[in-house]
Parts: sequence; structure tokens; C-alpha cells
Amino acid sequence: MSNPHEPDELGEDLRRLFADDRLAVPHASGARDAIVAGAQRRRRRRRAASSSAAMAGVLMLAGGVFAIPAPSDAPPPVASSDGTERPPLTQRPGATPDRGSADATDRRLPEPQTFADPGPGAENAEPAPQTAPETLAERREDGMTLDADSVLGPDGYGRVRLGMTFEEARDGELLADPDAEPPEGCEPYALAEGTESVWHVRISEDLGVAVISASGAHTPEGITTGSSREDVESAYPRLRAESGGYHAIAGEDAHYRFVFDNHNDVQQLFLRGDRLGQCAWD
Amino acid sequence: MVSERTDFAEFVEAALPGLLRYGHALTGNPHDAADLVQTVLEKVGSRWSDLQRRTQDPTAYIRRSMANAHISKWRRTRKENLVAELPERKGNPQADPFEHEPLWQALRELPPRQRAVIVLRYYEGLSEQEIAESLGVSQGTVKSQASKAITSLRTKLTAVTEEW
Repeated sequence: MSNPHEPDELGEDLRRLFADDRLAVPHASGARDAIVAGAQRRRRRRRAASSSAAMAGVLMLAGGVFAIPAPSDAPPPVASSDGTERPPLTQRPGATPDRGSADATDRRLPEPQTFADPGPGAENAEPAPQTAPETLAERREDGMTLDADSVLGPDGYGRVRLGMTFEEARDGELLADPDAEPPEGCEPYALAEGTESVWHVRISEDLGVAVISASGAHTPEGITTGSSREDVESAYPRLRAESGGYHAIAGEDAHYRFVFDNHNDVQQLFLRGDRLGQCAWD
Repeated sequence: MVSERTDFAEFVEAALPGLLRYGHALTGNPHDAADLVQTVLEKVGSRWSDLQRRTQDPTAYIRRSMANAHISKWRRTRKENLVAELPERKGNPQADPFEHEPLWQALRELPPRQRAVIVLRYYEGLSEQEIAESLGVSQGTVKSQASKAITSLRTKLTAVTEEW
């Protein structure tokens, strides 16, 4: 992205724009309570019936808690994501406290965190190789003495199988959040066992578990994050370059994706279904 | 239960301005920002104590959820409402405080996932690796999305300058 002949003026302009006070969105005084009430309703509904149809309904009940300053000839309320129309926004222009700009110092996150489980072990965003490449190679010649519980592929990881539905994963108590909501499109979920072997699984709404992102897990052929390019090539002679990384066939309907770092070691390792459904944009 | 509720209420009070502002950067307009923040906060609040057990920094978690929800929402919206959305794009300039900002206008035209990558990079100050982990995608994807976005922004900005 950086080009020595073109100083990163655009980057500077973007940072300046994102620091602009006009990004502040004033909210009505009742916004907090409405959100808290909305959350309570969601919880009650989930606990009571927990049919997914019921949950979808709760989402749109508490519309109109934010004030959007608008001219008197304001356009009609915008349609929300699911096509339903929300009630007009409540607070009158002029009664708008300038809350947003006070938050300018909050724009930078203190620590890089993983999305799924920013626990103590995940604070360093760099996935630490579990094993040095040399050791791995030795071990592999020894006849595969890597941790047998931490095998990624050829069609899943542990009890997580590619193509498994969100409900199967959740009801099988595989997800870190037992009350997780189903994916909208494609969303990542941390596993109940923690993030030592797998960062998260991405589940698509239409095809279920589509991608498993390894942290410490290894393939049946002994490749893990930190493995060298040579190890990968000797394990998978038919490795081929694709737009998002290098791919090797894992099983009948699945492949591995390897992303190498500047030292040609595996930085990221994924097991992916050949059909990704709504996760296909990666 | 009561204390959990109070705790969440206090969190919302403190975090709301920042989240709305971030949502504005992410979605490009205050209406969608409000929609997104409300949706994600209600989800999060319905399992607040679980979330607090699992993370030291709920705000970071919420921002990541917003970025993901925004991308997913776009995919669904595009599928179902593409035609209905299009005519709105050019109209309604009064509601937009950045009407005369060519960069903001250029950002509007980015697909949401490219925009999300740009916002995570330049608003949140995240690295490519952190963005990849936030969105659950590969670094190669982040790189290519960012590169497409930057190219497209440059092209649009150049076009604007030449028109004048």
C-alpha cells in the first residue's frame, strides 16, 4: 500500500476526517434506558421461548431512541436493515447535547485484541507458533507425535465439522457463548475450549461452518503456524497460489489456506470448505 | 440481576457517544449508525455478564461486532433491497454534514467491507493482522480490500479535482 513516490497523504486525510467533530451523533436522553429495556426483552424472550422467530421480532421493537438532527424538511424515516420501517426519531433538533466530541480520546484501542476472545492469552495479536519449525520437522519424521487432540482437517477440528449448522455447533456446546445468536451472513465464533488451538470458526447463514482459523492446531500432516514454507511444500506438493494465500487440498470438499509471513513461515492457517456460502468474500 | 442491569446501563451511558460516532464512520450516515449501535448493544446487553467474564474490554468487542454486523447487514440488504436503496444515494444532501467533503463522499461509494477495513485501519488504528482477526478473514484479504479501497478513493478524488 505504501509507495515511496506517493507519501501517505490520503491516510492522513482519512485520520483527520475520522477525528472530525461532525461525526458525533447526538442521542436522546432516553436512549440508554431504551437499550437496556431492549436487552432485557431479548434476554427474556430467549430464556422463555427461544424460538429464533421470536428473537427476530424483538430486534426492532425499541426503534427511535436516537435523535438525528435533521432539517425541518427531513426525509421520511429510513428503512432499517430488514426492510421494516422504524418510527420517526424522537429528539427535537436544538435539544441536542454535544456528547460525541467528548469521546475523541476513545478512538484508539489500548491493546490489540482478538475479536472472539480477548483473554489474557490473546493479547498479543501475533499467533505464537506452538513449535519451532525444526522441532516440528524432527517430530514429523519420528512419526507424528504432535498433540493428537489438536488436529485441524481434513474435514473439521475435533467435534466441529465443516458444514455443521450454527444450531448444531451451539447445541453441541461447542461455542464459547452458549447463548450466541445465529450468524447474519457470515460471522466468527470462538470455541468453548478456548483459543489455544483455534482462534474462531466462521459460520455462514446458508452453509454452516465454513472456515476454521487455527492458532495452535496442526494439520494431519504436521503443519501449524510457524511451519516453514519448505515443510508446507513437502507436506503438500500440489500447493497452489490463490488470491488470499496458498491452497492445498485437505479432503473431498475442503482445502487448507496458508498465509506466509516475511520469513516464509506460516503466519495463518485455515481449513476452509470448498463451498463457503456467505463466507465466500474472504 | 439488578446489579448486572445497572452495570450495563452505566456502560451504555458512557460508551454510547463513542459507539455512535464509530458507527457513523462505519456506515456513513447517522441513521444507520443509530440502527447498528442499538442492534448490537441490545444483543450484547442480553448476555452482559457472560461477555464480561470473557473479555476485559467490552467496547473493543462491541466495535468488532459492529464491523461484522455492518458487513453482514450490507450483504443481506444488497440481496434484498438493492433497487430500493439506489435512488437514495444521490439525494438527501441536507442531512449530511459532510456534504462538501470529497473524501467523505468518496468513502460513501466503497462497498461496506472495504469501508470497514478502512475504518478499522484509520479510525481504530489497527494493523492488518488485527483487522484480519477482528473480521475473521485472512490478512491477504485485508490487504487486497485495503488496496482496492485506497485505489478507488484516489481515483475518485482525482476525478473530483479534475472536474473543478
